[in-house]
Amino acid sequence: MDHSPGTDSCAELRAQVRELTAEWRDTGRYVPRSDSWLRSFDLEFSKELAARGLVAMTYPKEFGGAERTNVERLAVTEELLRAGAPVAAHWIGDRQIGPAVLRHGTRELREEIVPRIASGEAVFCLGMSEPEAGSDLASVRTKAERVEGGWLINGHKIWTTQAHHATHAYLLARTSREERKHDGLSEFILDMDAEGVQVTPIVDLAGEHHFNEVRFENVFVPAHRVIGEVGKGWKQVVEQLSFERGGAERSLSSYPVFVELIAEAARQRDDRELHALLGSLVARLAVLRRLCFEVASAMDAGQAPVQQAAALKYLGNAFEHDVIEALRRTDLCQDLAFDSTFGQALLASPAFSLRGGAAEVLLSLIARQEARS
Amino acid sequence: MSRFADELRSLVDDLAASGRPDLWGSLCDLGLPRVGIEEERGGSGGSLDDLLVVVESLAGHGIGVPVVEASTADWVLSHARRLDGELTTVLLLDRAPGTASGVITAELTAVPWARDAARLVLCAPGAAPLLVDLRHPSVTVRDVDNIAGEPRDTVTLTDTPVIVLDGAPSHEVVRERLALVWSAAVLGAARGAYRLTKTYVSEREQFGAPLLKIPAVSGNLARIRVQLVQADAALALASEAATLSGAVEIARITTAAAATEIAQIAHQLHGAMGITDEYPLHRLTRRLWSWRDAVASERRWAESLGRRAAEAGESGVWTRITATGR
Repeated sequence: MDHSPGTDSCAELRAQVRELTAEWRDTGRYVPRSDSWLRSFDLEFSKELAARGLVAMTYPKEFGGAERTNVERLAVTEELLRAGAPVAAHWIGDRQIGPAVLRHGTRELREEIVPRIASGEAVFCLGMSEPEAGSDLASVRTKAERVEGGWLINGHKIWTTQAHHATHAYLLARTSREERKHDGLSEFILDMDAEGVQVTPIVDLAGEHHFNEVRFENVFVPAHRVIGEVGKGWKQVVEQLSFERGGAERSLSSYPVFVELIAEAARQRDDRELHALLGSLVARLAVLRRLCFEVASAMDAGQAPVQQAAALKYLGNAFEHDVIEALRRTDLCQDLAFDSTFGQALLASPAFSLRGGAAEVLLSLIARQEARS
Repeated sequence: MSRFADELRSLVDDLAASGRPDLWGSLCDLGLPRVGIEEERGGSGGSLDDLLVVVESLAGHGIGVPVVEASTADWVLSHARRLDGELTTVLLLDRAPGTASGVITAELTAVPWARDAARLVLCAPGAAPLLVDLRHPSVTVRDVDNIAGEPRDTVTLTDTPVIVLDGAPSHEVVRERLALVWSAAVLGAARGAYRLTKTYVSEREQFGAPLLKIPAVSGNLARIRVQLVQADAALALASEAATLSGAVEIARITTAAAATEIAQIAHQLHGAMGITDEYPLHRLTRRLWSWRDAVASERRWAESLGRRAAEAGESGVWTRITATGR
């Protein structure tokens, strides 16, 4: 038996989330779905979670947080994903922008931004990807020029999830041209209603609108909205990516399909092959869960486990795909309706291993570490 | 996690590097195969975790010694009697042999290290383990090697006397422990194959640079690393689990899958050099291939884990998965 601190509180937190999601689901306030952390947007639900202290869980109390551990936060995020709950409104701010501002932001910036993430008021989108850059973040071209009292932003971001709902954008921009393209990058927070911000929808292959293009034309950002040190953004982004990559959402995007697979395996009592397939997926999920726990523990110890997070995301995305493929071993794959569990997950699946770094990029990141060690 | 891990690892590394002809004798003198057995019963003390470190480290050197079998057999035997200096091996049976009037007649296949062992512990479902004296005149041993060149002999028993080991762990418990120890052995050999491969691709040059500079090569090395990360996590899960059930299946499935992929990539990255008798890779990969399905095949573990998952339903599976590693 494990009696380490956190075990009981994790169980309590899980129970709290289960109760809330069951209530919302049963009263028809949301329908569980695959990929809910990106696709299922409901500001009211996020605010409800925030009111219960289930957003900004690891942040200091003085900025509206709950001062809980990353391991406790993992318990909550896992239960939310398991329930396919509508969490997209707060996910990105909560997961990576709050922690980034807390680590590197000035006192003023922390006071301005963090409590609003914690209350569910501030909805963030990520201005990282650019049309010509893809997974190569260091080739960002969006420019920030110093002007009186702040910066003037000009550039073009793409694949910006939920930009059309966002109140704020995190933005990676070039503040100077250096010999090494990793130098001269800086991180900013800007208001989406600032003059010169233009959002254009990109409709995805499922006919849904989550992605956007965002153009910045002479957008003014006040000086205090820089996160950390001007020109040293790269190191900060890399840290931020371990928050982005190392979470349970990298294994559970297709969890609703996994649920159906378990139920089908229970119905097909004699299908030994299906049982074997399910068993190997269960083993993989258990291991992924363990890795999530290890990443969360490392964060609690003050580390940014970049490599581990990359391995987790690589493995997690493969699992998410294989769960969907496993359902094709059953007759359930015949239901290809747009809103079917299988159909929905399948249409969402090409994004799994792209966002947050393509699979090949993650491998090369791990490989670079191998070459150094 | 073992508190003595570093100490045990360096002890094994030193022994392996010393190139002693009688490595097994040295290991026994140091009591390493009896780590994880209480001292009062003739063991070396320490925990199962410590034993896993010893097994994993030995396997990492591609060393063929009966550590998995002897440590498990001794552990079973220690529940019934104090251990002596003899080598005991172990075999799991699918069903209990007839033991009328204290003797047994049977042909046993794939008995590990039978030619070297003095005794054999036989474990079958629904019965107490049996102890067989392999040096009894009624016993014949025919040498058979597995693909790793390790003894998996055929043993013929004809009215051979057996001792019932009352108070020893049941078949199921022995099976789980054996499976866990094999998982550690597979992880060790996989790690050994990784180390060898990494050294090779860092040192061998082609097209004017080390192989590691070729993206396809470094990407494949990263895939090995990813498999090791998984196998490590699975072993950690299993050794921390309150009860081994389920966790052992996960460790077995994960290490077997890792063994398969790592052996394949390691050979690919070594090119033709890896398939020579002279080069040490095959000592690791042949063991990976024979050990990954020891006790039961990956497929069987997966089937039983899957069947129990189906019975438990989503909520049961979820509770089980999220209960570990807190």
